[in-house]
Amino acid sequence: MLQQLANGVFTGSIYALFAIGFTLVFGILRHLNLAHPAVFTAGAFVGIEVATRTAIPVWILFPVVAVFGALAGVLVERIAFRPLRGRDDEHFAGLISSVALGGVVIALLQARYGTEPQSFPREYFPNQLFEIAGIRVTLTQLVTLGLALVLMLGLAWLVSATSLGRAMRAVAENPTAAQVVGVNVGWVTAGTYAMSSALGTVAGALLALNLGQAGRDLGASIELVGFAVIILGGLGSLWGAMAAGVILGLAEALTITYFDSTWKGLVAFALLFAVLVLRPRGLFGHVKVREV
Amino acid sequence: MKIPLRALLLTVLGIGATFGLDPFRNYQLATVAACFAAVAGLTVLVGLTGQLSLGHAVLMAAGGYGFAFAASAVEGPWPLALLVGLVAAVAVAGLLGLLLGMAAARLRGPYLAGLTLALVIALPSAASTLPLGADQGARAPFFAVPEALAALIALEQWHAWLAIVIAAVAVTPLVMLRSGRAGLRMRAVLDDETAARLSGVDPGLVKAGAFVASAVPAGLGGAILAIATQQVTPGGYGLAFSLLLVVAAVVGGLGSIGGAAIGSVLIVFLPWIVDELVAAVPSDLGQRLDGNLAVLLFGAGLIAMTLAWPGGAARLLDRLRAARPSRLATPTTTTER
Repeated sequence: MLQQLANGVFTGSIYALFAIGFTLVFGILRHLNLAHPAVFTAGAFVGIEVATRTAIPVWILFPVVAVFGALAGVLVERIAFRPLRGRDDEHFAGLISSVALGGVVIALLQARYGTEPQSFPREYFPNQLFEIAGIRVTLTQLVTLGLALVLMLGLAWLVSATSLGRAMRAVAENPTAAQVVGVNVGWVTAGTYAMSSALGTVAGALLALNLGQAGRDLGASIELVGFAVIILGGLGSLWGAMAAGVILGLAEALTITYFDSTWKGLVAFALLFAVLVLRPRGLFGHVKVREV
Repeated sequence: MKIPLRALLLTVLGIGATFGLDPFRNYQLATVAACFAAVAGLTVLVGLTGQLSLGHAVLMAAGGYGFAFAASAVEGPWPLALLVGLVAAVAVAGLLGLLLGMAAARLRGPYLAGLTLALVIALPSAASTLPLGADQGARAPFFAVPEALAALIALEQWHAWLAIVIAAVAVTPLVMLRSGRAGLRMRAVLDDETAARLSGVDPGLVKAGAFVASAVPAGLGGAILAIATQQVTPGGYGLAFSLLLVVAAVVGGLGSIGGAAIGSVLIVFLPWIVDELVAAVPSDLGQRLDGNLAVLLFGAGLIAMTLAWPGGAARLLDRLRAARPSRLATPTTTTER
């Protein structure tokens, strides 16, 4: 039982990492970036390729993947969102163009890596087994949890305590006013996307490291739970995404223990539906009476 | 009275057109008719009420499953089985639409989009946990060509006829709804919910109603696909297909029924054309691009179009015949403002 709960927390931390990147963009810019799962998958593939080619240690691998992710994020914003700025159907059109861009990214991945799943080199990362208070954990799981915690807390600190974070919150409140008081909205937008995608690619590489391999459907496999996490937590809420990530990880672990793994998707959806009907803005979202 | 007449004329034209097509083209035509029914529902939902559903494929699947199970259960002449199947398709899709609509009445743009998206992704899980035949799906009954026509037309052509008639039955009421009082209410809610409420329109009711009105043609579209392919599988109604339906609605121009028809033709034929082109490319490169280049080109084209061509095909047509502005302007406002 305790073992299942621990597994749930490990899975949940990857969900949360996927989700905070997504929810960050929505919280600051009100964009639903549906290319995020594709960027997540790309992170896994790039991580595997870099690890295979250079055999650099894990501690350097993740920063490399994050840099790639940041660049990818800037590109996503440039291609799918920047040209639409100021149009009255900006948000809706951005949704469509980011879906399309996500499809393009997956198609490009297939063109480069083929249809077979890619694997990390054998013995790339020692799969050591620890036993803490009767719970078995692997080193990979510990690294995952540690990295996820560091990144999430780092992001929370960045948004709440730095000048960049203040600029981001200003843009979230009112982009025009932020521009007027001298915030470079273009830079903040690009920076937000860079951070979001860096988190997404690192989450993808982490999941691939846990599974040992990655296929083109890696992003699709996390999509349902990922979106459920974001919505459950309240779109735009960082703490909500983290909490909901762990909740859904636990729910999934319990579902697998007591039913079987085919129920996974259905349980996630049922949980989502129930929460949305009771609290239309998620667990941690705020209700506004009239949106502009 | 004008709308039913026009629908009748178009239906007869469509059936006439099947004589000029070979069996495979007729099969594709049936697919177009199925997509048309679903996209018409979707375009009205998004264009008139601003509710974005990314999950219309699941509503089609619901209709398809309803049709397959109900029609298989009927033992009797084929028109009876067909009719019972269609009623079941309407009932099942309508019910699911009502459920979604009730949730939608409480949710704002991105939350609704997320919920419907999650619905699509949960479909395979639902298919294997509920008695829906898991990945193999359900078999739909086979509708053979009636004896009186057997000498005259092939099976695919007969299915195309059924598809066209069902699509017409699905879309015509929707068009009438759209240009009638209900359409006005939807626009009022989209423009300003508070103002609509002040003039005695219940936004929750309108939104939920619009979802049901949009789900029913989608369910009938699923029934058409079940007739044409004789099966319903969860794999056929995945995320990619669901997003293609949204693409068709956007490409055609949100809120426009004619645009829905254009969009449906595009999403059925474009991937097929690209696949044919890829098949012509030799060996290794072709294998790598297989089923892939279509997505790539389609995605790139869609991005370019979203950026360069807001309003979709319907708007372009309007601009071309600018001298004769349409009575009901195509709504261009969209979700979450």
